Amino acid sequence: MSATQPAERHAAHRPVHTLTFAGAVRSEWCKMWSAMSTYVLLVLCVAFFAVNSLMIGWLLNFMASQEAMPVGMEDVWTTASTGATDGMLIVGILGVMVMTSEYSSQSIITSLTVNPRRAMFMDAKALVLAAVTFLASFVGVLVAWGCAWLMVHGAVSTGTQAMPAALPWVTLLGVPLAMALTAVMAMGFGAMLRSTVGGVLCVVGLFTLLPSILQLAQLLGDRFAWIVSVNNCLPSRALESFIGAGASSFANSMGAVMTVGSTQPFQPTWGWAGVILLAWAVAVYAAGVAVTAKRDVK
Amino acid sequence: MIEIQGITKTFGANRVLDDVSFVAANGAVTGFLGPNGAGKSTTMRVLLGLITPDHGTALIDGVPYTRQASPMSSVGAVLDAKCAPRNRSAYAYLCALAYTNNIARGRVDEVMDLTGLASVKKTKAGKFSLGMSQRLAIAAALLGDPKNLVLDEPVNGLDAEGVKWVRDLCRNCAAQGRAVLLSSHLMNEVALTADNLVIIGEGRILRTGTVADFVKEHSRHLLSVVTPDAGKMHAMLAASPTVRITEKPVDSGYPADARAFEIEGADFAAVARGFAAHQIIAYQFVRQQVSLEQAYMELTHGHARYVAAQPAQQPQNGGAR
Repeated sequence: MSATQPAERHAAHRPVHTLTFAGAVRSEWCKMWSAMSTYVLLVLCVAFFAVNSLMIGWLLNFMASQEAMPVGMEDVWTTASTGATDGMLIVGILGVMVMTSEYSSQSIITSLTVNPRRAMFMDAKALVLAAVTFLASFVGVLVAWGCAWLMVHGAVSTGTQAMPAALPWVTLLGVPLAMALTAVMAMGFGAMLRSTVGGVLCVVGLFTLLPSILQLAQLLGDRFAWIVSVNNCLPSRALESFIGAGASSFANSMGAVMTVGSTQPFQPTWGWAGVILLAWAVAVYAAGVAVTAKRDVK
Repeated sequence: MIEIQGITKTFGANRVLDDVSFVAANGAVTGFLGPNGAGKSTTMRVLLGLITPDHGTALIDGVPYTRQASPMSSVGAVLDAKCAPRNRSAYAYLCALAYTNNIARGRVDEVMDLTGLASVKKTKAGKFSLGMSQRLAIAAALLGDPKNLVLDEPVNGLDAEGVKWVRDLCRNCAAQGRAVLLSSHLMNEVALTADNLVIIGEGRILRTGTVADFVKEHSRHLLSVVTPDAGKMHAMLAASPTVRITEKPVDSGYPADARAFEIEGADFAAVARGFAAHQIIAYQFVRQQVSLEQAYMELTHGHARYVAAQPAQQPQNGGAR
């Protein structure tokens, strides 16, 4: 006996409403925009991109005027994406909350009752989260580029000769994509921990605390260079490498690779850094789906 | 139709469901009764795929819930009154649920009218009273015009009118051929609404059957007597082996020689004549009916998980009746 037999459906003589992925996505879209926290976090995300760009742009302009530093178009582009590391935290919190708010409000019970396919439920949520984060970060990067242009264009002296061809693409599309991946990764943490506090701690710990602690290893000498290598593969460091697109610019050199003693720690190229970030997102999200699919909802 | 077969579930060392099996048939309201913590909610959550059982299967019209093509048309469920996010409007909440199963927005307006929530459409669910939340949860359950209804304590927090409304809703749905599974910890509520009964205690099914049978079986009469002539009364009734006499504590206000008894299985008129013939004095001679609530309490006594400690001494209250 199967509920999907068409004959059975017609026998019911009333419209049958089928559960579909598109329906689940529409539902998540509706949920996303009916929560105040979404608006707050997205406005914050755009604001952080703009403010970071203004600050770094001003600093760059100031330094260029003081020290006659060569400034190129690559500086405008990389300045526009300096908000990404802060943006990462904001969209991370959004990603955690999209999942944990379901548990804190108990609405997970109705959500999983109307859609008992838990992986589909998660995928729909992740897709909407990624789309919303992408769009907000795209707006953020556009605004930030405007800010960067305002602050830096007067100081540009070398034009586009030192600018990697991929840089505009990475800034305009890569940064929003990286933000979307970050949000989905954070959603995975939220799904595993089912607690906003726990999820946000994970995000803050992995994105900011852990890299700063591991950074200290470079003071310990050659034997601990591997820790710096590991650090370079953490999401926030991978993001920094990725959005730099290999450009040698002012904003990039602030977080540049260093040698530890005489050893050169592993530093992925910007392309591989993007892949590493993708791998983080996929792994954490997959773990979140696995936990959600398996654990009881009491 | 809802079929639950041999469900067993353990949380840690605690076996919350132990081989639970029953059927909630189409066209009938099945009352699912049990004390708090007996496993009613867990059973319902197993049925809806929220909790995976260690053993056993739960089927809805022959198919596990998680494999239903249109979950909201197959089951409408109220599992927890406070399921709506506090910061979302009632309307947005219902829309988000409806969209998953491709139910049109018009149906959301319909169920809001049906549950009397049309006037609070834009109100945030966090501002709802328990009764309104309960109505919202029922509205959500009705969105898919479901073939089966699963309601976990739906009358909690409802006013008298609301309780009657839920009762009528259950009766109407059953009359339309749907299966309704209604949990409650109140026997009287279930007796008024349900056709069939499933009683659960400490995760085990204690009894299944029809409400009518349960009522018939437990509608025995009792004779409540307060008398100083206990010896004479025992002697008089000793000849009838079917009569059961239980001594009870005497209410205050009776003479010091008074003793109170409950007499079961005796004919009221015959005992009254016997008392007269044997010149037995009665301070009280009252015919009583065992209430369903009492019968249910007797059945589940010892299977209740959360029982208040008995006070050391029975309070002396009441007076001569």
